[in-house]
Amino acid sequence: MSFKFKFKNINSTNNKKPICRINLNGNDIFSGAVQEQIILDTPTQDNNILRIFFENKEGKDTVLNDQQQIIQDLNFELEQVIIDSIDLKHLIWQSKYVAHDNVIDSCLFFGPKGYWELIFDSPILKWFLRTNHNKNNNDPTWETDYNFYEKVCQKLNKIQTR
Amino acid sequence: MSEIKQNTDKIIEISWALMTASAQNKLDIPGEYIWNIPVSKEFNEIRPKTWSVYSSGNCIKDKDLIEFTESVQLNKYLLDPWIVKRFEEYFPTWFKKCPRFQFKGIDEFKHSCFAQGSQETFINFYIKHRERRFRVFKGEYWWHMECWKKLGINWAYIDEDDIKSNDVVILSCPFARLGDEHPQQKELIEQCEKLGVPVMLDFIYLPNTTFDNVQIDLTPSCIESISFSLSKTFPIANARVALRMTRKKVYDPMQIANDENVANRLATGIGLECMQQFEVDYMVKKYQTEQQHWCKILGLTPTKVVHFAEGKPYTDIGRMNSKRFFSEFNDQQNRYNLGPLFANKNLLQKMGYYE
Repeated sequence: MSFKFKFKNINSTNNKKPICRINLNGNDIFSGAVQEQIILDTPTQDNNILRIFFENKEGKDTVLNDQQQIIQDLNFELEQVIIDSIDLKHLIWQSKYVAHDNVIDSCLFFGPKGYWELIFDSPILKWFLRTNHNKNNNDPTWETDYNFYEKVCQKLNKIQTR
Repeated sequence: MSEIKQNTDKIIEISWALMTASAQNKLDIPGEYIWNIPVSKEFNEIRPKTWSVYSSGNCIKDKDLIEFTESVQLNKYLLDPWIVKRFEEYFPTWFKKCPRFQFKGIDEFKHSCFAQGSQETFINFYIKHRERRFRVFKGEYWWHMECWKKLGINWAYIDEDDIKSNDVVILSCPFARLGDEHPQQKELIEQCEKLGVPVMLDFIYLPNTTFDNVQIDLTPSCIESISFSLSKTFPIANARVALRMTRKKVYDPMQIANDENVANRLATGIGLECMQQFEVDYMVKKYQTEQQHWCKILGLTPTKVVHFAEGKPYTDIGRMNSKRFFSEFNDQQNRYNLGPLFANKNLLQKMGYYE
């Protein structure tokens, strides 16, 4: 399954760049400096836990002025997650950020040391449609349409391109 | 007689099959309108396209006809000053060749004028009668109402008010929504005749009708003009090939352009070549059994137009979310265009849908 992560507002301090580690179901699939875009390919399970760890944040990375205002900080934001060509769009907010004992729902900002977590199922499209409907109650035919789509895709896979 | 049970699941599944196949470049005959062509293979791109698979009135994309039109050398018509006249003269002759069509009083419609699609005829009719109130039945071609609303032209549905002397009527025959004669057609024309209300009859679907014997009475003098088109007959809708016939010569922009000999020669050229090569009821002869077959499979009712069937709307989503296919006036949700099924028979057979 392919993963594309887009990050923005990647802020360094004193020549120190933020480093992340991406972990799927307990396996590290990426580790390195946060880039605007990280593309990965890795197998998934029926139920998945995706975590992005903010690896190298330390207390000294947050620089304050005399008024205790932050003037420099090591941080970044998650902007977009695309799994198997499905842009999770608003469902990216169905996640949480865990920093020590604090759990912040729907947080895409990597400020404190911790990790962002998204739990999803495969196939991702089915999960996306179901989760979207459960959240917004605006797509009552999602399952029948999904089943039609899957069925015809399987049939078409057996047919050569014109 | 037992009621036909509509197989809505199958209708929807086939709409998914066709649009997914389109996205994967696997259709026998690719789509021709961007509103019906998914630009990617993604679910969310294909899904809204499935809602309109059967919604258009468009012509059957017949493979033999497409091959023929692709073989026609059109450039020679650009410098042919007589092509439009030849088209205008040949059209009525070609139509009358079909023994199933009998037009009583058609000889009174002496003035033929090429039109760039029926829409050009309609526009000129709107201009001519701009001081009157336009009247149509609900379910008429939505384009009229959409134009009138956008242009602030006075109009009303026929069932909303009596026909008045300052009205003007447009009526498709067979009627756009039903694929058959409108049940009030005769009564309406009688009223118009009595009140002197001008009528335009739109025969765009007539060549594709399966009637054994069509008798159309054009003798009421209120019938001012009749409109024909090749757009629903041959897959040349985007060449815009149509003809208006009137009792009296109408000096409107369309006629003036034709008199100036600047009408579209490519359109008339392709139209003339198609007419010379194919009979009026070519589609009926070729596809009537297909219409019956698909209606049986899907639990729909065949209409008198060979590429249409009637049934309950197969999707509420597209109809209810203010997405009434281009227009709030599109009330043709019960009409199914079977053309995409005819055109993609091989694919649908391979996928197991053509039993």
